[in-house]
Amino acid sequence: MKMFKKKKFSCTWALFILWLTLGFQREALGVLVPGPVIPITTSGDILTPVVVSGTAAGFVITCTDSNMDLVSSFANDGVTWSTPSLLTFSQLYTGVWVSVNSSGTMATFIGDPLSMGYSTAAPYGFFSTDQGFMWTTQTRIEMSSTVATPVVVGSRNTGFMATWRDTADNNPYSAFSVHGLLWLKVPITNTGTVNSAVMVAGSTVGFLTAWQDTSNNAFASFSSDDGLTWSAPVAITSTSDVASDVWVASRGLGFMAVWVSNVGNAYSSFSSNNGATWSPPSLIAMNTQINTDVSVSGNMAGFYVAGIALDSNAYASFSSNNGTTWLAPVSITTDNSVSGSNTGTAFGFVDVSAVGNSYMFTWLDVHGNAQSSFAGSGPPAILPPANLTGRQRKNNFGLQYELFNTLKWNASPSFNVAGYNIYKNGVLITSVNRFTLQYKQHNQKKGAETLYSVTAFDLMGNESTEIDVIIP
Amino acid sequence: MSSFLKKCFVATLTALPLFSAEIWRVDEAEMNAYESIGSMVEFKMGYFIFGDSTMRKIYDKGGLDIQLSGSFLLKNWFKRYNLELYSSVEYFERSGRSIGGDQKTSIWALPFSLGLKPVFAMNSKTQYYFALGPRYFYLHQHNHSDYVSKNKGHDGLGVFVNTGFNFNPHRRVIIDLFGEYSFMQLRIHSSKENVYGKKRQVGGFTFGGGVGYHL
Repeated sequence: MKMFKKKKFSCTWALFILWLTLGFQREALGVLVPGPVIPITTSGDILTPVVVSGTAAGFVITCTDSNMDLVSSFANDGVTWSTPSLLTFSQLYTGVWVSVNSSGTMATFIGDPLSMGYSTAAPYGFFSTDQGFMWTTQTRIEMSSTVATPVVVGSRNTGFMATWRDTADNNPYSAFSVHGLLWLKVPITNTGTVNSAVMVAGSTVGFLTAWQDTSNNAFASFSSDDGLTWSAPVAITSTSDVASDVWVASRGLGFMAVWVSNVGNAYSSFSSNNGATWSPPSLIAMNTQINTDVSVSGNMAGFYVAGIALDSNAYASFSSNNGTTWLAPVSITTDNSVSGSNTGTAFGFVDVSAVGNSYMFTWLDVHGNAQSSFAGSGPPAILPPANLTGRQRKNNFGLQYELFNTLKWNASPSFNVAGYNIYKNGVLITSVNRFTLQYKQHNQKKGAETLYSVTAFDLMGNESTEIDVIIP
Repeated sequence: MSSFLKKCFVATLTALPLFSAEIWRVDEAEMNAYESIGSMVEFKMGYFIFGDSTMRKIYDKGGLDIQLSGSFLLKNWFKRYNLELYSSVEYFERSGRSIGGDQKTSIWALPFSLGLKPVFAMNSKTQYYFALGPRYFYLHQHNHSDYVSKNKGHDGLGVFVNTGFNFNPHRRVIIDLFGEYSFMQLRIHSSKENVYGKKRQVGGFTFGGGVGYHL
């Protein structure tokens, strides 16, 4: 008995030492240590997977609630989520996708035709110049009523690319828009063999789309002209064992594609030449649930993939060498609460968005709440506006006049600017919204020298450094 | 613009009588008809623009000028030349937007004029005249602005000169075509902090016509 106890004790210590070793190893790598689980919503009424997209300024998520509203939230620092904003149109959303670039946020979905004034369900694009707090442009992307869900959206600095499969001809289609006002629809190929959602990723050189075809292989096509023309589809696999959507992500000048095989293993393939050729599939060994996807995103350190394992926990893996090798999967959750089905045709995934030195995982839990896990160094400080100029002018009524100082500046390049603070001789005199790039102060003394400073601030109260001008 | 208008005015003053020289030659038989020239009351309407270029630039709309005038015979020479006492009360208004601030502003004024008016009868139906004298101005400025005084009234003394032709379609009815120039400098002091006054010429040019009645 004593011996048994001693043996158990030493086993525990051995496991503890192993855990510590692995833990320190992870810390030493500094690339895959998911943060604590942080709820985005607590209302318990979320129905769809939680899509996340990030820039250096923060992360935006979208999903759908039980009222078929578009739900969005923003976290500047990766952990403090804004109160979810709802866009209510009583629409039959069938999943909402989101992508963020420097000009704003684009959400795509298939909407209820009646509430939108049309007779057939169709895909829509909602554009927000902020982080999804207000959707300013709402346009129909495509007239066809046979668009399959989901309508995926990706972005790069030139604009947004929406992609989908049309159930009428099983072809992949793309539509490009700069700000969501007008969409240019182009078929990616006309082989009529698409069997999945059409995923898309943007990079500095163009957009890459990927899908699973009816032979259960992964295919990709690239466009360097924002979807005007697409390359002939290139096979990523030839083993006919792709059983999921084929997610793609960019990093530097390369693209990574990931998918789940028909036995539940996750694989990746990398292309360094815009999808012209692909590396042999590399096993990620995620032990992923069948009928769920694995997502992928890249940042400065490498590529991250995320998926739902058989134990209904979220797992992630990392590769710093473009998928040649992958780290052993790390669990993001431990309470078996991630929503996703191992049977049937349910569409579930853990999404990942990696930006700069940080990465964010989001998912839907079994309680109907959107959850997140963030790790990294956080977004950079908010950047100040530029080119502040000022001059004194006369407001001349002929028989009397007053002098006023005018300030003009260029917008802060930071995406998450909520407004600008204006200081006079170091004292805050007013704040203006992010669309206002000038300010006038009336009834100024003749010849009085005044120092004006302007800073940018975000919704979380972060403030940039100031830029100054002296008037007159 | 200002000098151009002044030149026009001087040209009108001098050239029109000369232009009408032909009709100056009248028969002795008609001379008796000139006796009808004398005191009259008149209602005139015209278009006013400021003489000062900045005021013109700011107040670029409106310009209605209404006058009620009276002329009273003081002296007649050779039945053809009259010296009359001229008086008028006038109202004009202009509006526009401030320069730099682009804020609405308007001005109205009530000038009261008193002067001497020599009249020359060119024939029994046409007379040329000009009038000259002091003018009292009351001027009111209304500004749609929080940055200067919203309502400001001021008065002062200036001078005026006008000239024109009277036509007599009927023994007692007169049709008048006239041009007028007035001059007065005014400076407004605002009670608001950091609002500065500027001395400006608030008179200007008026061109118009009127209908009169011989007393």
